[in-house]
Amino acid sequence: MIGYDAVKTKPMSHDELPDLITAAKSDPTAFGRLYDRYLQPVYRYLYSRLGDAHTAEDVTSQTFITAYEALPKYREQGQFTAWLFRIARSKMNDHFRRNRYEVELEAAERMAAGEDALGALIHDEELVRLRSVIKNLNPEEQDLIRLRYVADLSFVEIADLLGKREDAVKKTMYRLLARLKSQME
Amino acid sequence: MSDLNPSPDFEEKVRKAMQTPNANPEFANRLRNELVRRPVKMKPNFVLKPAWAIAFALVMIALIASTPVAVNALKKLFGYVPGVGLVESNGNLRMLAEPVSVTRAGVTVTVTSAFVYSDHVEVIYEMSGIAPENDSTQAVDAETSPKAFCGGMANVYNGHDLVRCLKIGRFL
Repeated sequence: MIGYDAVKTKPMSHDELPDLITAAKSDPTAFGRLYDRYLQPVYRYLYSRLGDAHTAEDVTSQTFITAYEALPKYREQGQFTAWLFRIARSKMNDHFRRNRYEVELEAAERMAAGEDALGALIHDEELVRLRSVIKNLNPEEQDLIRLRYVADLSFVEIADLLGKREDAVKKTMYRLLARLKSQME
Repeated sequence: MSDLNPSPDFEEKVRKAMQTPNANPEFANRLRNELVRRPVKMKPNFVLKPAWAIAFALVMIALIASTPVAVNALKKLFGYVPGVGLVESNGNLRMLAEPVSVTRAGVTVTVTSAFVYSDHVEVIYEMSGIAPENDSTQAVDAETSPKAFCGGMANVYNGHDLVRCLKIGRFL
Protein backbone atom coordinates (compact mmCIF):
# COMPACT_ATOMS: atom_id res chain seq x y z
CA MET A 1 0.00 0.00 0.00
CA ILE A 2 1.07 3.52 -0.56
CA GLY A 3 1.05 6.62 1.57
CA TYR A 4 0.97 6.33 5.31
CA ASP A 5 2.49 3.42 7.14
CA ALA A 6 0.12 0.87 8.55
CA VAL A 7 -0.55 1.61 12.17
CA LYS A 8 0.08 -1.30 14.49
CA THR A 9 -1.52 -3.65 11.99
CA LYS A 10 -0.86 -7.05 13.44
CA PRO A 11 -1.45 -10.32 11.67
CA MET A 12 -4.11 -12.35 13.39
CA SER A 13 -5.10 -15.94 12.80
CA HIS A 14 -8.76 -16.79 12.36
CA ASP A 15 -8.48 -19.06 15.40
CA GLU A 16 -7.77 -16.25 17.82
CA LEU A 17 -10.41 -13.90 16.44
CA PRO A 18 -13.46 -15.41 18.25
CA ASP A 19 -11.70 -15.21 21.62
CA LEU A 20 -10.64 -11.64 20.93
CA ILE A 21 -14.18 -10.66 19.97
CA THR A 22 -15.54 -12.20 23.19
CA ALA A 23 -12.90 -10.36 25.23
CA ALA A 24 -13.56 -7.09 23.40
CA LYS A 25 -17.18 -7.09 24.59
CA SER A 26 -16.01 -6.16 28.07
CA ASP A 27 -12.39 -5.16 27.61
CA PRO A 28 -11.51 -1.96 25.71
CA THR A 29 -7.91 -3.12 25.33
CA ALA A 30 -9.09 -6.21 23.45
CA PHE A 31 -11.25 -3.97 21.28
CA GLY A 32 -8.09 -1.98 20.60
CA ARG A 33 -6.54 -5.11 19.10
CA LEU A 34 -9.58 -5.67 16.91
CA TYR A 35 -9.28 -2.04 15.82
CA ASP A 36 -5.60 -2.58 14.95
CA ARG A 37 -6.58 -5.55 12.81
CA TYR A 38 -9.40 -3.84 10.92
CA LEU A 39 -8.67 -0.11 10.82
CA GLN A 40 -6.73 -0.01 7.56
CA PRO A 41 -9.00 -2.29 5.49
CA VAL A 42 -12.05 -0.33 6.64
CA TYR A 43 -10.38 3.03 6.08
CA ARG A 44 -9.06 2.13 2.63
CA TYR A 45 -12.45 0.79 1.56
CA LEU A 46 -14.17 3.98 2.71
CA TYR A 47 -11.51 6.24 1.24
CA SER A 48 -11.69 4.54 -2.17
CA ARG A 49 -15.46 5.07 -2.17
CA LEU A 50 -15.64 8.53 -0.59
CA GLY A 51 -12.63 9.99 -2.37
CA ASP A 52 -11.11 12.18 0.35
CA ALA A 53 -9.18 11.51 3.50
CA HIS A 54 -11.08 13.84 5.81
CA THR A 55 -14.49 12.30 5.03
CA ALA A 56 -13.00 8.81 5.16
CA GLU A 57 -11.66 9.58 8.65
CA ASP A 58 -15.07 10.82 9.79
CA VAL A 59 -16.91 7.77 8.51
CA THR A 60 -14.22 5.43 9.82
CA SER A 61 -14.59 6.99 13.29
CA GLN A 62 -18.37 6.54 13.16
CA THR A 63 -17.93 2.94 12.05
CA PHE A 64 -15.65 1.94 14.91
CA ILE A 65 -17.60 3.86 17.56
CA THR A 66 -20.80 2.15 16.44
CA ALA A 67 -19.06 -1.23 16.34
CA TYR A 68 -17.70 -0.64 19.84
CA GLU A 69 -21.14 0.19 21.19
CA ALA A 70 -22.91 -2.61 19.32
CA LEU A 71 -20.33 -5.31 19.99
CA PRO A 72 -22.02 -6.65 23.16
CA LYS A 73 -25.03 -7.50 20.99
CA TYR A 74 -22.93 -9.18 18.30
CA ARG A 75 -23.27 -12.97 18.31
CA GLU A 76 -20.09 -14.62 17.09
CA GLN A 77 -20.79 -16.84 14.10
CA GLY A 78 -17.54 -16.30 12.26
CA GLN A 79 -18.84 -13.28 10.37
CA PHE A 80 -17.23 -10.42 12.27
CA THR A 81 -15.60 -8.91 9.15
CA ALA A 82 -18.93 -8.88 7.32
CA TRP A 83 -20.62 -7.37 10.39
CA LEU A 84 -18.02 -4.59 10.64
CA PHE A 85 -18.12 -3.79 6.93
CA ARG A 86 -21.92 -3.75 7.05
CA ILE A 87 -21.64 -0.99 9.65
CA ALA A 88 -19.08 0.83 7.48
CA ARG A 89 -21.34 0.66 4.42
CA SER A 90 -24.30 1.81 6.46
CA LYS A 91 -22.36 4.82 7.77
CA MET A 92 -21.15 5.61 4.27
CA ASN A 93 -24.72 5.50 2.92
CA ASP A 94 -25.80 7.79 5.78
CA HIS A 95 -23.06 10.20 4.71
CA PHE A 96 -24.24 10.14 1.09
CA ARG A 97 -27.84 10.73 2.16
CA ARG A 98 -26.92 13.65 4.42
CA ASN A 99 -24.57 15.30 1.93
CA ARG A 100 -26.15 14.34 -1.37
CA TYR A 101 -25.92 17.81 -2.88
CA GLU A 102 -22.40 18.40 -1.60
CA VAL A 103 -21.15 15.02 -2.83
CA GLU A 104 -22.68 15.51 -6.29
CA LEU A 105 -21.16 18.97 -6.54
CA GLU A 106 -17.71 17.76 -5.52
CA ALA A 107 -17.88 14.87 -7.98
CA ALA A 108 -18.92 17.23 -10.76
CA GLU A 109 -16.07 19.58 -9.91
CA ARG A 110 -13.58 16.73 -9.94
CA MET A 111 -14.87 15.50 -13.28
CA ALA A 112 -14.71 19.02 -14.73
CA ALA A 113 -11.12 19.32 -13.64
CA GLY A 114 -10.35 15.86 -15.04
CA GLU A 115 -9.09 15.03 -11.63
CA ASP A 116 -9.04 11.77 -9.73
CA ALA A 117 -7.35 12.25 -6.36
CA LEU A 118 -6.38 8.61 -6.00
CA GLY A 119 -5.69 8.13 -9.68
CA ALA A 120 -3.18 10.98 -9.51
CA LEU A 121 -0.98 8.71 -7.40
CA ILE A 122 -0.62 6.26 -10.27
CA HIS A 123 1.97 7.01 -12.90
CA ASP A 124 1.98 3.78 -14.87
CA GLU A 125 -0.02 4.37 -18.04
CA GLU A 126 -1.44 0.85 -18.12
CA LEU A 127 -2.63 1.15 -14.53
CA VAL A 128 -4.20 4.53 -15.24
CA ARG A 129 -6.12 2.94 -18.09
CA LEU A 130 -7.13 -0.04 -15.97
CA ARG A 131 -8.34 2.31 -13.25
CA SER A 132 -10.39 4.17 -15.81
CA VAL A 133 -11.96 0.91 -17.06
CA ILE A 134 -12.81 -0.08 -13.47
CA LYS A 135 -14.41 3.31 -12.87
CA ASN A 136 -16.73 2.61 -15.78
CA LEU A 137 -18.05 -0.58 -14.20
CA ASN A 138 -21.46 -0.47 -12.56
CA PRO A 139 -21.51 0.41 -8.81
CA GLU A 140 -21.98 -3.22 -7.66
CA GLU A 141 -19.03 -4.39 -9.74
CA GLN A 142 -16.86 -1.54 -8.51
CA ASP A 143 -17.84 -2.40 -4.94
CA LEU A 144 -16.82 -6.01 -5.48
CA ILE A 145 -13.41 -4.88 -6.76
CA ARG A 146 -12.99 -2.58 -3.76
CA LEU A 147 -13.91 -5.24 -1.22
CA ARG A 148 -11.48 -7.71 -2.76
CA TYR A 149 -8.53 -5.56 -3.84
CA VAL A 150 -8.74 -2.48 -1.61
CA ALA A 151 -10.07 -3.92 1.64
CA ASP A 152 -8.40 -7.29 1.00
CA LEU A 153 -11.42 -9.28 2.07
CA SER A 154 -11.53 -13.00 1.38
CA PHE A 155 -14.25 -14.47 -0.85
CA VAL A 156 -15.92 -15.94 2.23
CA GLU A 157 -16.00 -12.54 3.93
CA ILE A 158 -17.39 -10.85 0.79
CA ALA A 159 -20.02 -13.57 0.47
CA ASP A 160 -21.05 -13.09 4.13
CA LEU A 161 -21.27 -9.35 3.63
CA LEU A 162 -23.32 -9.52 0.44
CA GLY A 163 -25.47 -12.43 1.60
CA LYS A 164 -24.34 -14.61 -1.29
CA ARG A 165 -22.63 -17.97 -1.65
CA GLU A 166 -18.86 -18.00 -1.80
CA ASP A 167 -18.88 -19.84 -5.13
CA ALA A 168 -21.23 -17.27 -6.64
CA VAL A 169 -19.04 -14.37 -5.50
CA LYS A 170 -15.91 -16.07 -6.81
CA LYS A 171 -17.52 -16.76 -10.18
CA THR A 172 -18.77 -13.18 -10.50
CA MET A 173 -15.35 -11.82 -9.59
CA TYR A 174 -13.48 -14.04 -12.03
CA ARG A 175 -15.85 -13.16 -14.86
CA LEU A 176 -15.44 -9.50 -14.01
CA LEU A 177 -11.66 -9.78 -14.09
CA ALA A 178 -11.81 -11.65 -17.40
CA ARG A 179 -13.92 -8.85 -18.82
CA LEU A 180 -11.52 -6.21 -17.51
CA LYS A 181 -8.60 -8.09 -18.99
CA SER A 182 -10.25 -8.35 -22.40
CA GLN A 183 -11.03 -4.63 -22.33
CA MET A 184 -7.38 -3.93 -21.61
CA GLU A 185 -6.14 -5.97 -24.60
CA MET B 1 -14.35 -22.11 -13.31
CA SER B 2 -10.67 -22.88 -13.92
CA ASP B 3 -10.76 -21.27 -17.38
CA LEU B 4 -11.88 -18.06 -15.71
CA ASN B 5 -9.16 -18.03 -13.06
CA PRO B 6 -7.36 -14.72 -13.33
CA SER B 7 -3.60 -14.65 -13.45
CA PRO B 8 -1.91 -13.42 -10.24
CA ASP B 9 -0.21 -10.77 -12.38
CA PHE B 10 -3.47 -9.30 -13.54
CA GLU B 11 -4.88 -9.38 -9.99
CA GLU B 12 -1.81 -7.49 -8.84
CA LYS B 13 -2.40 -4.90 -11.55
CA VAL B 14 -5.98 -4.43 -10.38
CA ARG B 15 -4.73 -4.07 -6.81
CA LYS B 16 -2.23 -1.41 -7.91
CA ALA B 17 -4.78 0.38 -10.08
CA MET B 18 -7.09 0.62 -7.08
CA GLN B 19 -4.35 1.51 -4.61
CA THR B 20 -5.54 3.62 -1.72
CA PRO B 21 -3.49 5.14 1.09
CA ASN B 22 -3.68 3.82 4.62
CA ALA B 23 -5.04 5.97 7.41
CA ASN B 24 -2.87 8.74 8.79
CA PRO B 25 -1.07 7.37 11.91
CA GLU B 26 -2.04 10.47 13.88
CA PHE B 27 -5.73 9.88 13.12
CA ALA B 28 -5.39 6.15 13.75
CA ASN B 29 -3.82 6.66 17.18
CA ARG B 30 -6.28 9.39 18.16
CA LEU B 31 -9.28 7.20 17.32
CA ARG B 32 -7.72 4.20 19.05
CA ASN B 33 -7.14 6.17 22.24
CA GLU B 34 -10.69 7.48 22.14
CA LEU B 35 -12.10 3.99 21.74
CA VAL B 36 -10.09 2.26 24.45
CA ARG B 37 -10.90 5.05 26.91
CA ARG B 38 -14.65 4.90 26.33
CA PRO B 39 -16.60 3.46 29.25
CA VAL B 40 -17.47 -0.16 28.68
CA LYS B 41 -21.16 -0.90 28.26
CA MET B 42 -21.45 -4.26 29.92
CA LYS B 43 -23.89 -6.64 28.35
CA PRO B 44 -26.50 -7.75 30.84
CA ASN B 45 -26.44 -11.50 31.45
CA PHE B 46 -30.15 -11.80 30.85
CA VAL B 47 -31.73 -9.72 28.13
CA LEU B 48 -35.51 -9.86 28.12
CA LYS B 49 -36.73 -9.46 24.54
CA PRO B 50 -40.16 -7.85 24.01
CA ALA B 51 -41.90 -11.10 23.02
CA TRP B 52 -40.56 -12.87 26.08
CA ALA B 53 -41.41 -9.90 28.28
CA ILE B 54 -45.04 -10.01 27.08
CA ALA B 55 -45.24 -13.78 27.59
CA PHE B 56 -43.70 -13.43 31.05
CA ALA B 57 -46.18 -10.69 31.98
CA LEU B 58 -49.14 -12.80 30.79
CA VAL B 59 -47.99 -15.81 32.81
CA MET B 60 -47.55 -13.62 35.89
CA ILE B 61 -51.01 -12.08 35.45
CA ALA B 62 -52.55 -15.57 35.07
CA LEU B 63 -50.77 -16.77 38.21
CA ILE B 64 -51.76 -13.73 40.22
CA ALA B 65 -55.36 -13.82 38.97
CA SER B 66 -55.69 -17.40 40.16
CA THR B 67 -54.73 -16.54 43.73
CA PRO B 68 -57.63 -14.90 45.68
CA VAL B 69 -55.34 -13.33 48.26
CA ALA B 70 -53.27 -11.71 45.51
CA VAL B 71 -56.40 -10.58 43.68
CA ASN B 72 -57.78 -8.87 46.79
CA ALA B 73 -54.44 -7.28 47.50
CA LEU B 74 -54.28 -5.94 43.94
CA LYS B 75 -57.86 -4.73 44.12
CA LYS B 76 -56.96 -2.72 47.16
CA LEU B 77 -53.68 -1.57 45.67
CA PHE B 78 -55.02 -0.35 42.33
CA GLY B 79 -58.57 0.52 43.42
CA TYR B 80 -60.06 -1.41 40.49
CA VAL B 81 -62.66 -4.12 40.96
CA PRO B 82 -63.74 -6.19 37.95
CA GLY B 83 -67.42 -5.62 37.20
CA VAL B 84 -67.46 -2.53 39.42
CA GLY B 85 -64.71 -0.29 38.18
CA LEU B 86 -62.58 2.10 40.15
CA VAL B 87 -63.20 2.34 43.89
CA GLU B 88 -61.60 4.70 46.34
CA SER B 89 -58.50 2.90 47.48
CA ASN B 90 -57.10 5.59 49.73
CA GLY B 91 -57.65 5.37 53.46
CA ASN B 92 -58.84 2.24 55.18
CA LEU B 93 -60.82 0.49 52.47
CA ARG B 94 -62.34 -2.82 53.55
CA MET B 95 -64.10 -5.07 51.11
CA LEU B 96 -66.00 -8.30 50.93
CA ALA B 97 -63.72 -11.22 50.17
CA GLU B 98 -66.41 -13.22 48.37
CA PRO B 99 -70.17 -12.97 47.56
CA VAL B 100 -72.56 -13.69 50.43
CA SER B 101 -76.05 -15.07 49.90
CA VAL B 102 -79.04 -15.43 52.20
CA THR B 103 -82.63 -16.64 51.50
CA ARG B 104 -85.64 -15.71 53.61
CA ALA B 105 -89.32 -16.11 52.78
CA GLY B 106 -88.38 -17.19 49.27
CA VAL B 107 -86.35 -14.05 48.54
CA THR B 108 -82.66 -14.61 47.97
CA VAL B 109 -80.30 -11.67 48.47
CA THR B 110 -76.76 -12.08 47.23
CA VAL B 111 -74.27 -9.40 48.18
CA THR B 112 -71.64 -9.60 45.47
CA SER B 113 -69.44 -6.75 46.68
CA ALA B 114 -69.32 -4.52 49.70
CA PHE B 115 -66.88 -1.71 50.32
CA VAL B 116 -66.49 -0.13 53.74
CA TYR B 117 -64.86 3.28 53.52
CA SER B 118 -64.04 5.49 56.46
CA ASP B 119 -67.21 7.58 55.89
CA HIS B 120 -69.68 5.31 54.08
CA VAL B 121 -70.47 1.82 52.89
CA GLU B 122 -71.23 0.70 49.34
CA VAL B 123 -73.04 -2.57 48.65
CA ILE B 124 -73.68 -4.30 45.32
CA TYR B 125 -76.31 -7.01 45.50
CA GLU B 126 -78.72 -9.12 43.47
CA MET B 127 -82.17 -10.39 44.41
CA SER B 128 -84.39 -13.17 43.18
CA GLY B 129 -87.68 -14.78 44.17
CA ILE B 130 -89.58 -11.49 44.76
CA ALA B 131 -93.36 -11.86 44.60
CA PRO B 132 -94.99 -9.45 42.08
CA GLU B 133 -97.11 -7.77 44.81
CA ASN B 134 -93.92 -6.78 46.64
CA ASP B 135 -92.23 -5.39 43.53
CA SER B 136 -92.70 -1.67 42.84
CA THR B 137 -92.34 -2.17 39.12
CA GLN B 138 -95.21 -4.65 39.08
CA ALA B 139 -97.51 -3.59 41.94
CA VAL B 140 -100.59 -1.54 40.99
CA ASP B 141 -100.23 0.86 43.96
CA ALA B 142 -96.46 1.21 43.57
CA GLU B 143 -96.62 5.02 43.28
CA THR B 144 -98.68 5.62 46.43
CA SER B 145 -97.23 2.78 48.43
CA PRO B 146 -93.54 2.14 47.70
CA LYS B 147 -92.57 -1.46 48.07
CA ALA B 148 -89.42 -2.97 49.41
CA PHE B 149 -88.29 -4.15 45.99
CA CYS B 150 -88.23 -2.89 42.43
CA GLY B 151 -87.28 -5.15 39.56
CA GLY B 152 -84.99 -7.31 41.59
CA MET B 153 -83.32 -4.42 43.37
CA ALA B 154 -83.96 -3.19 46.88
CA ASN B 155 -85.30 0.17 47.84
CA VAL B 156 -83.02 1.48 50.52
CA TYR B 157 -83.87 3.54 53.54
CA ASN B 158 -81.18 6.17 53.97
CA GLY B 159 -82.34 7.44 57.33
CA HIS B 160 -84.92 9.90 55.97
CA ASP B 161 -86.58 8.48 52.85
CA LEU B 162 -86.94 5.27 50.96
CA VAL B 163 -84.43 5.70 48.15
CA ARG B 164 -85.76 3.78 45.22
CA CYS B 165 -84.20 1.10 43.13
CA LEU B 166 -80.56 1.37 44.00
CA LYS B 167 -78.34 -1.27 42.67
CA ILE B 168 -75.49 0.25 44.60
CA GLY B 169 -76.79 1.09 48.05
CA ARG B 170 -74.81 3.86 49.66
CA PHE B 171 -75.17 3.89 53.43
CA LEU B 172 -74.06 6.92 55.36
